[in-house]
Amino acid sequence: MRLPPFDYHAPHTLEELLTLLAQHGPAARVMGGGTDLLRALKTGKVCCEHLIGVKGVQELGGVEFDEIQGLRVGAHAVLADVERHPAVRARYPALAAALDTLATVQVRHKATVAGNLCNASPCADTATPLMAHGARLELVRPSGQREVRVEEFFRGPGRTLLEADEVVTCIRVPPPRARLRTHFSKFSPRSRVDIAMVNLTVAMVLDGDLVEHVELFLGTVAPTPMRALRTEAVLRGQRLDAERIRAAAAAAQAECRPITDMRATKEYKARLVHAMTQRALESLAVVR
Amino acid sequence: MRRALVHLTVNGDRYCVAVRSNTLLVELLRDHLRLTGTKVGCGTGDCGACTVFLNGRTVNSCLTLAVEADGGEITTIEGIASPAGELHPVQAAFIEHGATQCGFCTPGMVVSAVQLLRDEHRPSEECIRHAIAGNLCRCTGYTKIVEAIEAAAERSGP
Repeated sequence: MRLPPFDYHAPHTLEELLTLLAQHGPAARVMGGGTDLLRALKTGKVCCEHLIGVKGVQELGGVEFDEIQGLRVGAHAVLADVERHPAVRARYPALAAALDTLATVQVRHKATVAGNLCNASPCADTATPLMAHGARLELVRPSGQREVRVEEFFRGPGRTLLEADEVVTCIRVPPPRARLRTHFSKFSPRSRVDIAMVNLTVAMVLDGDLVEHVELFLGTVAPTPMRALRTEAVLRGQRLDAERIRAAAAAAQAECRPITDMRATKEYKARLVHAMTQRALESLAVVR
Repeated sequence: MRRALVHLTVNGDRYCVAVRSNTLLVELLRDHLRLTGTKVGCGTGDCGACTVFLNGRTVNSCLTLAVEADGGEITTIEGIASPAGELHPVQAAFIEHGATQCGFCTPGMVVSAVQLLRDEHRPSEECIRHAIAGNLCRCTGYTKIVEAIEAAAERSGP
């Protein structure tokens, strides 16, 4: 499978990158690892005259953590480096779990977390754990800089709020709040490597068996990864017992909005949301 | 379309190759350098037949631009044995355990197994299966491949 013609640019600085984007605008695509983009170019799903590779832009690299700022994932940090980072494993286990199930070894050596978000697939495995941790994307364009929450970033399947002259520079994840427990799960035929039928992340703080804080994010069951606000309301301030867990699982099944596609019917995905929500809450109830 | 000069080291040899922007690394290896041990299966990063080392890490060379490898160091299946021709323990184990049938997946499978044994000296069976999840084999059913990698790990382990 050959690639269609395009011009490739490899800027070395953020300034060069922004100049190229300003110059070529909608005719250009920014490439992180290229594991989705090159495939989409080959199959004709995406066309572009200019491809701008960001791997050479030093400001956009690196994975760092400190207790005050939290985690910073540079735009071209690859999945394997984020997954192996000791702070990610210790402090953001749901993100580490999502990365562990995502793609093959070869793809993890090249694909980026920022790229996983910029593709804006409703199935993006890194989306729900990042949302549950309150992650923000740092965006830069010639006219200035802004930070947006991952939740706000998605606009629909394949669509984000990135402007044509704008790039992601990094993802910032605040330090996890005290006593926060998280749970990521994914269901797919191969359980790893392939795309999720459903993925979800729960973040919870329990005071005894009372739910002090809870956020639940569901992937693949709406046009974008979604926050399950009605399910959270069923749980917040309540005792996390078997009855409450069943009520929450039913609420999650009711509020998700899946479609039937090549992976499963919408009814099956909604049942999966029920079962996976129940299991996630049971596991969080047990480990407190 | 622009052309670019790509400087790279492949299996210890240095090359300077003129490529187009849209030339893939696998095309550079196979068509320009005639290193045809690296195979093209799906062309979309699913089958792993095109797996090579780029700067010490396995990648799908069908999803890598040749220009991305500029300044880089590549090892293909042709560079896995020692320069004197002594097979890598993974290659020797593949032969002994009959881990090859049609052979099309074998170069990528061997490269992925070599990557695994660099990272893990005594991988579990689950770990081996996870490591080769990006390499599809339509013949063997994987059992003999997993056995061969286990045997290679025992042989090359500390």
